[in-house]
Amino acid sequence: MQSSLRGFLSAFSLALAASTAAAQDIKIGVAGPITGPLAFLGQHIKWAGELATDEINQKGGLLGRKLVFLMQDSACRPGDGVTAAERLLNQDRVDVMLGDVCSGSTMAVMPIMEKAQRPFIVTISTHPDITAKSGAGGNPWVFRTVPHDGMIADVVADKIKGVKSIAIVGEDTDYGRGAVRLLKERLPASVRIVSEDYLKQTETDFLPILTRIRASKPDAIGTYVLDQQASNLMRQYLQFGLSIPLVGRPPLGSGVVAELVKSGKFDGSWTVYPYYDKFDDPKNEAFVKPYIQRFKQPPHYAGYGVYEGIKLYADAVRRAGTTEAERVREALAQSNFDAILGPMRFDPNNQARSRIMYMVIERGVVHVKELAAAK
Amino acid sequence: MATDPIFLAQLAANGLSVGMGYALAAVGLALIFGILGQVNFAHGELYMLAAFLLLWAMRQQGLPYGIAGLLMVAMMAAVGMLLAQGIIIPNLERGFESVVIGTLAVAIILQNAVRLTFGATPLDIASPFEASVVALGGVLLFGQRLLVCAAFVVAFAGLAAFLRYTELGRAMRAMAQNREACVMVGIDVRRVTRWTGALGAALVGLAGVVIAPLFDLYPNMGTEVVIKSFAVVIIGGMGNVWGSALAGIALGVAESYAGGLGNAALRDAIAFVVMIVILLARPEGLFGKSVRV
Amino acid sequence: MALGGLCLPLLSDSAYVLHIAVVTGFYVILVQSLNLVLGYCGLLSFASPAFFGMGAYVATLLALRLAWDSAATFVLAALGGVLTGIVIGFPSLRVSRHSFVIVTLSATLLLQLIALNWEDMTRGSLGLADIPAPRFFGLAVETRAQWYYLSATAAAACVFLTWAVVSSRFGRALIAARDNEQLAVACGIDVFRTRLLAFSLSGGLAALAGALYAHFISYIDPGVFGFSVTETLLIMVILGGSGRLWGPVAAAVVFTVLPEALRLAPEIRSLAYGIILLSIVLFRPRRLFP
Repeated sequence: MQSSLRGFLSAFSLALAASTAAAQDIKIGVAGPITGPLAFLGQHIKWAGELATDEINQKGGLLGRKLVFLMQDSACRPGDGVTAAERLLNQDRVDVMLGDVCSGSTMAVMPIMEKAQRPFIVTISTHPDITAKSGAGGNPWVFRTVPHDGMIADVVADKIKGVKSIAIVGEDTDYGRGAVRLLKERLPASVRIVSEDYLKQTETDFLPILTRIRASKPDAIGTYVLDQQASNLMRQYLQFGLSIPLVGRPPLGSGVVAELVKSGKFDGSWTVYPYYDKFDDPKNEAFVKPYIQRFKQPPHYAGYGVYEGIKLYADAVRRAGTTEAERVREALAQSNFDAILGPMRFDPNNQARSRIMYMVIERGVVHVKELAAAK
Repeated sequence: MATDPIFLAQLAANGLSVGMGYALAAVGLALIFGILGQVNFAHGELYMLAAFLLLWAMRQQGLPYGIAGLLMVAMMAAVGMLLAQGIIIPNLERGFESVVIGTLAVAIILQNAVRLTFGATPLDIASPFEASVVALGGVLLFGQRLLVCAAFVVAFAGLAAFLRYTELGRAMRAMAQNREACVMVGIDVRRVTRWTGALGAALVGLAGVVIAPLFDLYPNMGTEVVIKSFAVVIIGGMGNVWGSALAGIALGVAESYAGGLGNAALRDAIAFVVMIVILLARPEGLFGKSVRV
Repeated sequence: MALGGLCLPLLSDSAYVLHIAVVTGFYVILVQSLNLVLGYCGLLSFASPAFFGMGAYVATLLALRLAWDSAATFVLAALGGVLTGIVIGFPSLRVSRHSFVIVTLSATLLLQLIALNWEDMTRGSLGLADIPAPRFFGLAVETRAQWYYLSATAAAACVFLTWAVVSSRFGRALIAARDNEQLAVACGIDVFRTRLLAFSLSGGLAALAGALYAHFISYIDPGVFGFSVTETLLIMVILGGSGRLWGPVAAAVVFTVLPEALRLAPEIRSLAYGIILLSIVLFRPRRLFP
């Protein structure tokens, strides 16, 4: 209890000390889930934000000024996201905002950024509409560093060709439903979908679905759920003794399911994801090592997004030589940023054509098989 | 597939074990509702708290699952008594509204205190029963879920005996029927309230101890439990102990078949449709009102 | 204070302050809606998100698909709420008080499931984005100041409407039925019909708030049927004093501004909010406002 209590007290005092930014500081804001079912992603956002800003500040800051990271709670709801963004923009006067986890909240904040004329870097949400509305699509202030669901669906459709029948298990949000809809548009006629189930994000019980899948014996389970739901699904999958690979976008690289993957029962499962923390690369190690050292956990994809987003912004400010929003926006559009997965450039819709990871589990270990180029 | 007997039997087995879990999780809410006439909005958070305390006892104190579990049930009883003393007793004469807000506040505090203490990363409890699976003619029975069924039987049998044969249990039943009359015959209403709070929290604590190892732990895990528990309590008839048991099982089985034969969206819908239909046919719940055993 | 309220856009040019003021207006409307049922019927209802979401979707779909004038879409959204109130109220007001709670909750969750699954109409969980600024007879409400006046006017109108209803003969019948149902029946009051009317009116008010919200935030998804708004409304109505007119209005202001003030400490904001709530219940148990 003592160590827990100490953790609690230190969190408490840190919280009180937070948000003490001076006027000349460069401020980066994000509205994300501090509370609610996705709070664990919010935790990674905060960690990554602090890590990136501290790293920059230790090297003398940005244009000689200190970088400050401010996070407000959106609970991943559009209404709260907008309120949090208004506060960050008008009260804290942030110079740039990063996107939320949930696409709904990110999309609700987009018009506000346009009105406020400040850059908005979307680093986590994957809804394709965000790209469609950005840059040449209408809102020049929005930039997206992560591949969107359509780009990922292209790669999934390419890898899924050999599968004859598939059962879909997805979360009942734009992430699950939207990604599956995009996949269906790209699916070859030879792949038959035997069932589709969309569960509430808070649902933990997969018994009826796994019972049905055990009887219908599809070749693969198309998995479109986030980490904690995937963990529950995989634990119950083990109890059923199934040997049907999980395919599509199961979060196989997540620390939450690392122990389950080690069991070897998921060999042959594969996923297409924007990021994996054990990707063997010196630039990735330079990010992951201090992250684990400081937070005792490997970075989640949400943390990776925020870290790169801040470094990308810093790069643009350096090239622009100012934090003046219009000039930074122009610099962002012309980025040729040295990102972890390779050079990051933006297309006319301000969408980075980043590479996408195809990963397969072999003997209890996740292997990055391919860094697919986005179409 | 829909007529495969093993498939149908598996759905029945799943439904029964899930339903017994629903009943076990709900009966504490039913008691507080039935005996004290109060809605405990922190019910789901008590379940969550029990799970996290169990995790702490096992990981940080190194206690084995069984001992830590029993200890947690006792600790939750103390928490329940505190809740009754702090929030219900001061508002006994004021109707249900103050208690609604008071328990809602406790729920918010517990969720956030647990988040700040344990972090928001999903955690899991290693139970010795988790890995064991029994195959019964092609139907799989899962060890931890069998433990839930056992806890269900023990809890309900014990509760029935307690309410029927002990002085305190009889006083609780009396209070469920008429509190004013209790005062007149010399029953200490505060004492009964405290013990009802303790009993209700201990039962939801037991539910947390046996059910939580099935799933990942996170600070918001209680919200789903509370909605299901409300449904079970009301379908079963306020505070009717056997009613809650049967309503929980019925809900579990109905969901299992809807999810197995239909899809996940139908599972969620069917539970609520069935509930509305039952309530329209039997407005006092399937098994009538007041605490009965 | 009323003068200060009128001039708020002149006093502060902060979009954030005005934003909170606009949202406060929405909550004032929602509080009227819940107060009619909880305060004046004495029934605990979880249907607020059902009405709110219905209003949001009706107004949004009419604006996006048919580009109708907001004067028409807002009226139709409110009517959608009234209709939802009748449909939910008809069965739920016949069952016991306790069952009423769960029937209203179930109906809300069912509506959310419909919004999720009727993808041709609602785009399901993909949500509806780019909801335009509302236009009343061609006049657009775009700036934060304009929104402030719209929200304040709507809120004032709804408070007035509630006052007019509860102080009328109908309102007295409602209160009589709440305080003593048997006696009310004996006096010739049709309790069921009276409550059904109040419940559907409550639906209309919440739906209006939903329509305003949708246009203000410019994006909706089935999350608008979510439970969280109920929690906030229960706090506002109960601590403000349910069954009274001005207490809940004041509470709507306090409990919209308080969580915003607590953004000073974002990590412990919700914890502090819970502690403040609990302290109010423990140390000022009667009600917050005189």
